[in-house]
Amino acid sequence: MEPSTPPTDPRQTGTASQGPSDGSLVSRVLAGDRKGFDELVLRYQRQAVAVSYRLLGNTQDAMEVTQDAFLKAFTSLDSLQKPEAFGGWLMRIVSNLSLNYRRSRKIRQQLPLDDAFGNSQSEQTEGSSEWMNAGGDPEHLLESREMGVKLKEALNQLPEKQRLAILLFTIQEMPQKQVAEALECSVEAVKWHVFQGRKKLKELLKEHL
Amino acid sequence: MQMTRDELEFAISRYIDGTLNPLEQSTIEEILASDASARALLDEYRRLDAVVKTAMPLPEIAWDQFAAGISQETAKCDVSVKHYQLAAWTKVVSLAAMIAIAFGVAFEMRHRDSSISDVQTGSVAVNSTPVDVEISAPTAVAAAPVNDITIGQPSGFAAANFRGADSIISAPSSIWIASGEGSQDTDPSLY
Repeated sequence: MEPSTPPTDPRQTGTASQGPSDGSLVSRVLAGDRKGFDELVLRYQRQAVAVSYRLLGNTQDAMEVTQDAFLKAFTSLDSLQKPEAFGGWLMRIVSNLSLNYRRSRKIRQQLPLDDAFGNSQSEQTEGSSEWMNAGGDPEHLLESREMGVKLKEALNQLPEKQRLAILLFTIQEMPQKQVAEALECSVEAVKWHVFQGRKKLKELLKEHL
Repeated sequence: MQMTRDELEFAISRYIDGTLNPLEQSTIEEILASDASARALLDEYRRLDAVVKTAMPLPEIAWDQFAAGISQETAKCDVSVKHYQLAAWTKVVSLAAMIAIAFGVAFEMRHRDSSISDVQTGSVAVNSTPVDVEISAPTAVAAAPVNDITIGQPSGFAAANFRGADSIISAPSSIWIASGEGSQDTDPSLY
């Protein structure tokens, strides 16, 4: 078998988005032009919600956390040392807030009060979360739902860095450099985390592949 | 080139991502062309990638509304990132003041140092001849009993005359007392 088309990754050097650079937008905001931040929101909102959503498995929670993350980024923008690294920095805030939110949610779910409500909400958010309900025919829906559950369980078993590396690089297709900034590690370490995460996922999902 | 299983898997992982350098890429392609187990491994990783990328689709979200909500929230906390920019002339004045203060401090320090060094370098004659020192306690003197206590202005004080004081302390022509909102200077040119 011939190895198929040699893959090329446009993400390696970071995607050059249209319009002003992140650095110039950050500078504008720091100079008092709040509109610059609106542009950054438009640029990163999908990515931020997607990352949070895949960590939390619930749209409402993801949107709430993402909004908090943008506000936190806005109020502490002057602490950003490399304005060009805004994307990675924001994703770090998003993933940290999402993980904190998830931890606090787990603690809340362990409280006896949740049991009084039959744990229905927690089951919905932890077990069969919304992202498994996305369209398609019933048979396909069931398959994708099962696969979604299995994948989520498998992802949850990965160490945090590996999970985030898979999420940001493989699923979100963020540039490696940005992932490295988000994870506060080197690009080489990102490659390693992605590989280690994949290897474990392959093992955990081998019956479903 | 001989690779361990782990090295091969790592190389395949990077091959899928397209993050190998040209030399590594040609090496792994040679291995894939000749090794069936390596190709099977590549297939497994590709299937896994496809599952990971498609099993968690993002639901529909009204992005414009979401962005507008964030914009409104950031407008509320606009103050916390307000940055004050000094006018060019204030920077010059500040710099001049800093230099003047620095010179003043340096001059003062130098002046003090010189006066201290004068003392330190001056010769002091020490008489080493032993002398007898007689220490005696002072004779206790009995205090006179207090017979009269006068409260108020002592006699003769009224005659004191502070001539010229009125020329030193003179009343100001006007007094402006600022309080409340109206007292704040809102002229932006001053800032």
